[in-house]
Parts: sequence; structure tokens; C-alpha cells
Amino acid sequence: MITTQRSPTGGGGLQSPRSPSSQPPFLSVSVTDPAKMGNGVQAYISYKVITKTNFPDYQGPEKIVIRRYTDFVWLRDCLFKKYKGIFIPPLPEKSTVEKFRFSAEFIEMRRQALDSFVNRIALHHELQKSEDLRTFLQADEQTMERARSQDTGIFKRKPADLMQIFRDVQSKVSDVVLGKEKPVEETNPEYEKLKRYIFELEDHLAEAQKHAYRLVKRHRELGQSLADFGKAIKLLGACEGDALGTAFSELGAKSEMLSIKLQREAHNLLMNFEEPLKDYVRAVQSIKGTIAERANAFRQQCELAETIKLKEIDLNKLRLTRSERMLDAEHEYEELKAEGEEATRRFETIVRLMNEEIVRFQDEKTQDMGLAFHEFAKGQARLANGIADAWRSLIPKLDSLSSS
Amino acid sequence: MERSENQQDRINSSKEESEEEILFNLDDSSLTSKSFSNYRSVMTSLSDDSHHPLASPADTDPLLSPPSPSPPPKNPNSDNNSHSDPLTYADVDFMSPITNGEEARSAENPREESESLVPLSTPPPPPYLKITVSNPQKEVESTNSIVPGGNTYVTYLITTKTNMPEFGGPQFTVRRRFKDVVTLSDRLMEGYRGYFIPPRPDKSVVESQVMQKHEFVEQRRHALEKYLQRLAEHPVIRQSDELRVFLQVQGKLPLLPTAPVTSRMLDGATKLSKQLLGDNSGGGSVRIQPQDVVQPAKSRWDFLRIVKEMNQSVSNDWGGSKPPVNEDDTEFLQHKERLLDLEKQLTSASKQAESFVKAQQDMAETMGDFGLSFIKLTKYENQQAILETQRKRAADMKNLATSAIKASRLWRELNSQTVKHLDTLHDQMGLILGVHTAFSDRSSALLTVQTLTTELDSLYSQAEKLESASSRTFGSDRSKTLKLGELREVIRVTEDAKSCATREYERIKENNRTEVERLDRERKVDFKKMLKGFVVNQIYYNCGCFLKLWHIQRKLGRSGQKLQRKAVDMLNMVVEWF
Repeated sequence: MITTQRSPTGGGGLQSPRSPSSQPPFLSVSVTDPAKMGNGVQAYISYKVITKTNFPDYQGPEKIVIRRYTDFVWLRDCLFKKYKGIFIPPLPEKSTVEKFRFSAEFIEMRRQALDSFVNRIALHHELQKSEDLRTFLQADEQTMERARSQDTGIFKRKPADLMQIFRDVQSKVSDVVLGKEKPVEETNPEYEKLKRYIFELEDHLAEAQKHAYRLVKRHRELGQSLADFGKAIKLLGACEGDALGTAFSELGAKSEMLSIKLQREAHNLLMNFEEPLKDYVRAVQSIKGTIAERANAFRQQCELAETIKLKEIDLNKLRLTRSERMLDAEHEYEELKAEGEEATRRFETIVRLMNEEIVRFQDEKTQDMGLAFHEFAKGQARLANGIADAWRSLIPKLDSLSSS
Repeated sequence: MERSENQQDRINSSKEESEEEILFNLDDSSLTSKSFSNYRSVMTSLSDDSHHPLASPADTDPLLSPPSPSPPPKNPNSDNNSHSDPLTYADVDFMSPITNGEEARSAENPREESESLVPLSTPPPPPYLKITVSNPQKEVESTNSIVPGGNTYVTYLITTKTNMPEFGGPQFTVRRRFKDVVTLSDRLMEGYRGYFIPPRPDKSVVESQVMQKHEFVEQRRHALEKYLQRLAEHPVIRQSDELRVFLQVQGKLPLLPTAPVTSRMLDGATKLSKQLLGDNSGGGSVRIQPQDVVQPAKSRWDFLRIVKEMNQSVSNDWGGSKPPVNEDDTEFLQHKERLLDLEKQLTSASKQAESFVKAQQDMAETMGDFGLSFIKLTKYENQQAILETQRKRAADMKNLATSAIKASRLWRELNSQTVKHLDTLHDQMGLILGVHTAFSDRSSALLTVQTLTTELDSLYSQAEKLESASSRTFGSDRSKTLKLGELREVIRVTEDAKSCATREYERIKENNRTEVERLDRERKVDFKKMLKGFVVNQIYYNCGCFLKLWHIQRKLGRSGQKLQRKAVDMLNMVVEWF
């Protein structure tokens, strides 16, 4: 089931599962029911992944599989490898702090993010066609495990590796200084602008997210202090006695009640605002990975072009001398040319895809953020109303107090 | 009309229709500055006839005024106005009258007749004594100093404003140092036994270097001001000579500190009795002043002897763990227990109030930082925008950011009001500390009476023995007669001392009683005020400010007339109620 965070973008085409079979194709996924499996150090969380679809290669109207975090990572890596140029949806981070790995809040945050992840893939007009996606959504657990361990060794590229590639690209200045050969870089001013935008955007977003998280904490702290205050006031009321004492007791009770409201609002703020914001940050980081891939592809293309040129010179020399190596050289030359075309084609695909993706991405984020802002304001309004209501209910009591 | 345009916008946007959504869909014009200015006009019309002492809550706090003569705004919807903008600070400035009012409250003493609104013809102006402490200055101790340059100390400018005739003037100032305050405090303790005298600020065991640090001086200045103001609020102490002299007489303070001989002598006795009486004070400022007789003893010898006896009887009981004082007034004991419990609860509540206020402050700050970070984001997106979606997102972000920044300011204001209201807890906690001295005054007075009684008993039995012995011998034994005579003299003196002590004890008992009554009465008034103020404050900000702010942010669906009225009613009721 698509969660409320998602709004339908183009592609995908969501329909109710109950429509007649002549409906357009749809693929609807949900990640639910986190369950702790195993014990001790080996313990992990498994999730139920429910797929509802009418895609031809997919099984049945509905299929449920069990997956764990590393399965999602596998999927992301496969897609990243095979769909260069497309902004692969981001995954939540691996948990670094052991203590919180199984906290309810962390698990819920992760589940939500994983659900986002799969849904975005399912809704993407290209990514939804992926075979790896199908494996992920349909294969039984053993097949999944085999696939996961197979691809781990050879193809698994950690985000750290991607960052390294990107850093290589960015270190052109130092290379020049060190007298190394200047690495080839696109000289596309628009693209330069885009790269810089992505980088700076990440910084701004990260800061906003940090403050958003702090705001969540403040709500919790205010809630806690209200609870403590309420308790102390109640005790004070017991001391005072008579009408005033009752008024104090009620004030204390309301404080404790509001404390709960604040905790609830803190949670709401976390899940429906801070997490989408964090998701935004991750998405921007993922784009950096794509940028790195593009740089790679460009470099390959350039390198091949260089090699081809050299080969051509070589070949012409051989032609003049009518060497017996000429045929082989010609053969190699043809192969190289094909590779070159392939590299160019790959690069151009990436460029084209990125241009499309940037538009889709901005669109998606505007919608996601719009929804998040809406949730923020709604939450704050709800909180303010709750607070006002709670205190208002004390008025009759205080009223009788002043007349006593 | 702008209002209908807004409604139209709302109808066109989101189609969410849950009850909750409708709840928040308030029309701008219902909570606009026009409504607030209605309140304001209600308030100002009230403050005009606010010299009435019985309208006391009104003249100190605009929101706590009695029902206004003019009809409260029932349908501000019908009052059209041009404000459909998000909440401006003009609206919120409305709260400032409260801050001015709060200052006046401490100076007046309208508590006695605050509850009912019986109109009097021409009430006398309530006694007014306001003391401020300011302008700390370093001064050098000029005389008798072996070390050239001498010690430095700080003096403070004490400004008094009053309408009490005893002072002979409406305003005057004097310079005093902390030592003078200690003297004043000591003299008051001696002279007003049984009363709940607020404890003075602590002496600080710091080096003179630290003493000159700006922060410490400011802290002390503030503490002194609070202390003197509390003294000014005490109905009995404010009329004392000691206080008047302290506030008015220029130059050196003409109050002697307690006679050192007496205090040295009696110190030993006091220390023991303090330990035995089991008065555990949380305030750390218990001082048992050991003057046990109001009138000076007939001769120094007698006085010393009485004290020695007292010391002895106290030390005789030293081995035992129960206090030697036989307090049989159960009502008093109940009050004492209650007040001790109250002190404990007040301390705890005061502490929690501080945490709460800090949490509100943190919320304000973080909300502000949060807003700013989104402003930065907005600016950035706008700068870099290529696509239309980016501009839209930037616009959304800007809305959120400005709302957050406004909210931050509102939280700050809410908090500064909260501080003022909850300060009552701190104040009451300070006042209740005065209870300890008053109760130990009583205990030591009772101890004196009981000691003297015991002493008298033994004297009488001695006399009896002497009499029966001398009646058995036929000739008059000159030395025995002399002894009997002396003994009878001692008995007489002791009887006198005992009746003095008993009178003193009764006096202190009465002071205790009236003070407990006064403390309870005034505390209840203050607490009622605190509760009202706190609640109204919270409602005002949450209902009137925040709700409106975030509602505008959301720009939701169709306008819920019913719910507009609900919110408006809530605010009206708050106004009417006060």
C-alpha cells in the first residue's frame, strides 16, 4: 500500500487493486511488520514486503516475502550499477550505535524509509521494469539470499567507494599542482552549476534537518518538564487543601495530560517532518553518486577516444609499411571504435537521463516537502489547540475559586 | 471583501475533511487585531477606575479585570477589518500592559480586601512602600586600617518611594553596604520574635576579589532588593523603626548590632538548644536570637545566673534525643507540620517550574534557529532556481520559515509572562522560610519558661528544706537565716523573670498565630492569582496566537463557522471572566 507520504508522480500509474483487469498496469508495494529475528550479535530485523500488482511477469495479484535490510542494500546496489544516470532512491543509513538498533523508534523510522525506497522504485517508469526489483519482490528467501551473497563480493560498491570516485574527480586541482595529467572533465557550464547546486544544497538541507531534529527533542523536553511540574503541583495542592488545593491538583493533572500530547507531537514531528527532510538529504547524497558515475562515463569516453586516435595513427603507420600486423591492428581498431561508440552512447544516455531525472526529482521533492510542511503546521496547530483546550477546562474551577 | 476571498481560496485547496481538519480552519478575521483591540479597549476602560482597592487584581493585571461594563465582542466576524495578514506584532504588543501592571503589584498591599467587590465610598489610599536597590559602587574603608589602601566594599543605592506618613516624604535615597543589611536583619530578628521575617540574603564566604566581580554584585543587588521589598510588604515590619532608620537616615547606620557580650554568652546555649529543638530548616538561615527576657535582668549577676541555669538544664537533657520543650498546643503543632510540608512541596514545585520555564525558552530558541535555517534554504533555492517547482518549494519553505520565526518570538513572550506568574512559587518559598525563625523564637521562649519553672521548683524545695531545718533548731542560726533570706530573694527575682518570660512566650505565640493566618491568607490570594494568570496566559498564546499562526500556514479547506465561533468564544470567555 502506498503510504500517505507518497504522492503519485508520473509513470507508475496507481489504481485501486479492485478495478477490472483491463486497467493500466500498476505495482503497489508496502513494507510492514518489522520482527526481530535471531539472538545476540546475529539478531536482525525482518520486514514483510507485500506486493500488489498486475504486471505480467509478477506472480499473482498479491505476494508477500520476507526481507531484511541487507536485501534492500543489494537492490539499491544492483539498480545503481545498471541504471546509471537515474537518481536511485536513497536508503536509510546502517545503524552505527548498537544500543538503538532495536529501539522501537529506530525500527519505525527505518521501516518508513524502506517503504519509501521501494515505492519510489516501483513508481519510477524505468526502475520499475528492473529484473532485480522483481527478484527482490517475488523470490523466495533462499533465492534472495543466494543472489545477495553472490553479488556482494564482486559488484558491491559501498557508498564510500562512490564518494571516493567522486573525490577523485574533485581533486583535479591537487592533481594539476602535483603535475599529474589533468583528468578530463566536462566543460558544460550548466552542468557545473548543477553540481555546485547539489553540493551546496546538501549542506543547507543537512543544517535544516539538524535543527528539525533538535526541535523534536525540545518538544520531548517540554513534555517531560510539564510532567514533572504537574506532579510537583499536585503535591503542592495536597498540601494546600480545600478549593485551592483542588485547583492545583487539576492543574497538575492537566500538565501531565499535556505532557503526553507533547510526546505524541514530538513523535509526529519526527516521523512526518524530520524523517522526510532527512530523506531529502539522503536523496541529494544519492545524486552525488550519479554525478560520480557520469564523471566516470565521461572519463571512459575520453580515454577511449584518446586510445582510438592513437590506434588510428598506429594503424596508418602499419598501412604504409604493409606490415602483417596490419590486419590484426585493423581488427583491434574496429573493436576499439565499437567500444568508443558504446562509451559515448553510455555517456549520452546518462546525460539524457540526468536531465530528465533532475526535473522529476525537483518535482518529487516539492511535493514531498509540501506535504511535510503541511504536516508540520497541522501538528503545531493541533498542539496549540490541545494546550488551549486543556487549560480552558480549568476555567470553571478557577472561576469558582475567585468567588469563594 | 477580503474575507470572502480567503474563504474562496480555502474552498479551492485541499479536500481533506476530517473533523480534525475542520477544527483548525479558522477564518482570519475572527482572530485579528480588531478583536484584540476590542479587548484592549475593555481593559483601558477598566483601568480608569482602578484606584479602587477592591478592584485590585484589575489594576495590576489587565487580563485579570472584573467583567467589563461594555459588552464583550460576541461576533467579531461582523466587525470587518483589513487584517488578513498573518499575525503581526502589533497584535501581540497588546500583552505589554500586563508587564507594566505586574511591577505595580509588588508595591501595593491590596490583599486584605481583594476577593469581594463591595464598593466603598471614599477608600483611603492603600499604604505603599516600594524599595529599589541600584547603583552598586566600590568604596574604601577609610579608618583604622593598618594596611594602607584598606579594604574595599560595595555600597548600594537604596531608593524608597512611599505614601506612609511615618517616613515624612514621598521619596528618598540612602547608601548602604551589605553589613548594614545584616545588622538590620539581626535587629529585626531580635525585636520581632514570633513573626515570619523573611530571611536575608546569605553572607558570602568569598575573597574580596570575587566580591568585586560584576556578576556577583548584580546577584547580590537583586537579592537585596527582593529582601527589602519583602520586608516592605510585611504589615508589621514595614512600620518598624529599624526599617525606617535603615531606609532614611543618611550616613552611618545608627543601629547597633547585637551586643557582642550577650551574644557570646548566649551562643553556647543557643547552639545546644538549636540542636535539641530539632528545627530542621531547609533555608540555611536559621538564627535563634537568644534574648530570653524582654526586660533587662535586675542585676547582671542574676541574668548570668539564670542563663547558666538554662544552659545547665539544656545540657542535662543533652543525652536524650527528644526535645526538652513541652509544646502542648496541638493546633500549633499541626500548623507547624503543615507549613514544613508546604515548604518542601514549594521547593520542589519551584524547581520544576524553573525547568519548565527553561524548556519553554529552549523551544523558543530552537524554533528560531529552525526558522532561520529554512530562510537560508529558501534564499538558496530562489537564487538557484531553474525550474518552477523549485520556486514553488522555495515559497512553501518561506512560509514555514517565517511562521517558525514568529512562533519563536511568541514562545519567548509566552515564557516571559510564564516566568512572572510562576515566580509566585519562588516568592512564597522565600516567605515560608521566615517561618523557621518565628517558630524557633517560640521554642526558645517556651524553653525559657520551662527552665525557669524547673528552677523555681528546685528553689522552692530548697527553701522548704532550709525552713524545716531551721525550725527544728531552737536558737536562731544566723547563717541559716541569712541563707534563707538570700534564697527568698533569688526566688523573687526568678518569679519575676518567669512571669516576664511567660508574657514574652504568650506574645510570641500570638504573633505566630496571626502570622500563620496572614501567611496562609496572603499565600492563597497569591496562588489564586498565579493560577489564573498562568492559565489565561497559556490560553491566550496557544489559542489566540499559535493556532492562528499555524492555521494560516495550512490554508485548509472550507471554513468551519461553528469552529470559528468556538475559538472566538474561548477567547471571549477568557476576557469576560477576568
